[in-house]
Amino acid sequence: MDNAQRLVVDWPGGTVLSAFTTVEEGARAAALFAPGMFRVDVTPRRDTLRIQVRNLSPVPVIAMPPETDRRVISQGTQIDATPGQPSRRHDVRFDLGTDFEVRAVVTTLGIPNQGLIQVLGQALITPGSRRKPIV
Amino acid sequence: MHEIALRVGNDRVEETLDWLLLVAPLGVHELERGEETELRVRGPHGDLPTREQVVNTAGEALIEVAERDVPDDWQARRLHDYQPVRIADRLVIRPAWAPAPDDDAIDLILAESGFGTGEHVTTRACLEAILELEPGGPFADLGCGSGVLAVLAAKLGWSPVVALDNDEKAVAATLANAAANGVELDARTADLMTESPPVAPTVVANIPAPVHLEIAGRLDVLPRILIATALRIDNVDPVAAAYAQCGMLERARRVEGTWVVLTLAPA
Repeated sequence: MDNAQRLVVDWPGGTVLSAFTTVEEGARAAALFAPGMFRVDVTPRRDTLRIQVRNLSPVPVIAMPPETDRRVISQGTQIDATPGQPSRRHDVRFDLGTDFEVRAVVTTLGIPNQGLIQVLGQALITPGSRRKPIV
Repeated sequence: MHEIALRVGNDRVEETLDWLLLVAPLGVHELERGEETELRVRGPHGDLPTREQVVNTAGEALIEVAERDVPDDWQARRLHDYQPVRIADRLVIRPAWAPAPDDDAIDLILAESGFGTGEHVTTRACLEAILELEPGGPFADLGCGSGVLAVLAAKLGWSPVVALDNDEKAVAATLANAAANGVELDARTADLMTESPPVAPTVVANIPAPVHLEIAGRLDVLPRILIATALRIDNVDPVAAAYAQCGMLERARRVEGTWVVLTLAPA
C-alpha cells in the first residue's frame, strides 16, 4: 500500500538508498527508510520543508553539519510541475553511533493545482568509526 | 477520496507513525489536540488500510478511529486541514486562501515566497517581542526575508518602516506581503556587511552572527530598542559582547531550543 518507490544499491565503500514518494502538502511522509537503522521524514508545508530523523537503531543518532559543497543535478522535461526553490533542497548528515555515517539529500518538487509534493531522497550510508558518539 | 483518522496520545505518535507512514498513500497529517494527536491518512478506498487493520496494528496506542469521505478537490481538503498560526494569542499568520480569524486577533497574510511561513522559532520569538513593545515612530527590519516582522510593525502603527535584505527576492516578497496586508513600507536591497544600518529607534535584526558583529561596529546612532536574532546558543555571547561595547546592553534573552533572541537597549 505504500506509494514510495525505493531502491537499495551497493556502492564502493557503502550503500546507496534512493526513494521517491508523493505527499500531500502539510502531511508527513517517509523520504528515506532504512529498516532497523533510521527513517528521514519530511513535512512540506507551504514554502517550508520540515525534516525529522527517526532513530530506529539501538545506537544514538548524532547530527552532523550539512555538507554544502556537493551539487545535486536535476534534469527532466518541464511538465506540469514547478521547480523547487533553493530552500527545497536539503542536506542531512548524521552518524549512527560510531557504526555508520549517513549523508542524505532530500529534494522536493511541487505539483501545481493539486496540492501534492514529489519528494526524492537519496542517502549514502558508509561505515563510520572516526568519531566517538556524544551521549 | 476517503480518510481514516486515528487519535493517539502525544507520547504514542512516533511509534504509531512507524507503521502508519509506511502504509499512507499520501503521507500523514498530524493535528495536535491538547494531549492527543489526530493522525489523518487519506487516499482512494483501495489504497488505504482497512479500519480493522488500523485497530489491530495500532493496538493500545489507539484512543479512537474514525472514517469519512473528504473532498476530491485539493483546495477544499487544504481548508479541512488548515490550522492557523497564532502568536501570543494576539496575532494570526495565515496564507491568503485561509479564512481570516473570527476574533479580534491581528490578521497578517503571508504569501508563499520561499522565506517560510513565519513559524520558525526565531521568527515567532521576534513577533512576540514586537507585540510586547509600544508601537510608534520609525522602525527598521534588517534581514527582512518575507517581511513578516516589518509588515507586523506597520500594521501595529510604527511608521515609517524600512525593510532591508541582501536578497532581491526577499525585497519582492516583503513588498508583496505589504500590499497583501494593505500597509506601506520602504523595502530595498542592502549589504549590511558594508553599509551602515538605517537610523531608527526600533530595530529588529534577523541576520547571521557575522552581520550582527559588523553592525555592532557601525551603529552611528543607538536605537532605543534592538531585537537581535538568528543567533544560536554557541554564537550569541560574542554578539552580545559586541553590542555591549557599542553601548547596547542586553535586557532580555529568549532561548527557543538552540536559538536565541536578544532584546538590547542603551546603557
